[in-house]
Amino acid sequence: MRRTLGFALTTVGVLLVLFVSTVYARGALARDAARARWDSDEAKRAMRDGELDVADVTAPGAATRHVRGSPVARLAIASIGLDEIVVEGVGSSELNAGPGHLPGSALPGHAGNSVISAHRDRHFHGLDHVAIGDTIVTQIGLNSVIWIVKSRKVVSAASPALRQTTQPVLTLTTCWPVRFTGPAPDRLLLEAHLAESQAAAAGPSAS
Amino acid sequence: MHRHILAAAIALAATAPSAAYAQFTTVVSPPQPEAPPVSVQAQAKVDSAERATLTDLRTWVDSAASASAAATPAPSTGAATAEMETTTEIAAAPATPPRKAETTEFRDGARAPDTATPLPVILLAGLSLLATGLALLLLRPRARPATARSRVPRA
Repeated sequence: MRRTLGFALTTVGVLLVLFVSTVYARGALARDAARARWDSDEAKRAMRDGELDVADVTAPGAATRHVRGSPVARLAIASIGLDEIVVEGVGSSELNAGPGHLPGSALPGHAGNSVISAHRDRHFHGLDHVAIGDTIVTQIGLNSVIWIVKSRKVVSAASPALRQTTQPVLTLTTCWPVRFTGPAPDRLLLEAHLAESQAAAAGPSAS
Repeated sequence: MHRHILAAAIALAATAPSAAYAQFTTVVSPPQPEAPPVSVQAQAKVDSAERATLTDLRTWVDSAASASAAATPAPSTGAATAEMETTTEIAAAPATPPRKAETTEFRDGARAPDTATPLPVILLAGLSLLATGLALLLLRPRARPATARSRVPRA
């Protein structure tokens, strides 16, 4: 009886751990794939740099729709050592691959509210350590944007927290509390405002 | 021969009604209502006559006809009838609370995207079960200390 129970518990435990490990491994692979694709796009942009006008790439409203899962931006927060490729979409598969850009919201640096979300146990696990005044750097194409964190608030999951803005705003969201057993009931929202925008071939300085 | 047939016919005629009646013996016939007294019957006739008395029969007929026309639904096609039935069904269906929609597109006043994940809990549960299972498999139960009785040699 003791051996049977021990064997059953061990089997179920191994299966659960394997399941979670598989999900995390697939996320890591998707993350690597997004980064490779981002690097490839960067290389192509660098090759076209002499021919393409920078303003065409970074103009507000240009190509705000992307295929779900495709890389759309690079996000770096130096204070927590975060450097991730943001993918389009906030579905489970997209959030497994990296921080997701909420479709319909503005791209980082464009006019409007740009919403980027990620899981608290993966890409945004250190987001609770970001303080007001910290800098965030986003990069789309050749355009790097520096943001300053202006507000930090915790709202319930059902709260209508996202607002449309006329000025460029970057909103980072994740679950709250960060260390919580079970699906977290609240959301942490960091709102950053534009500090400066510069067109540069180099990547984010925070990386 | 004919006598036998005649005897059989008589026997059938004599026994068949009782056999047929036996098929309906389970039916309990309702009790016959008692006839009301004559005075009550006369009063009922008077009441009915008074109710049926109409002073202006033409007006009564016209009003009854118009009332009947208003109550009768207009002739409709099958599709219209089906549509009406469908509408009735929808209206009669119990009101279900709207399902909480996940935020997949940005709009003003939208909720923050659902980033809640059960994976840490599943991992924790899996590790707990694994540890418990391994403990059950690998750790042997303590041997019971020998009692005084077991140490006494048998006679």
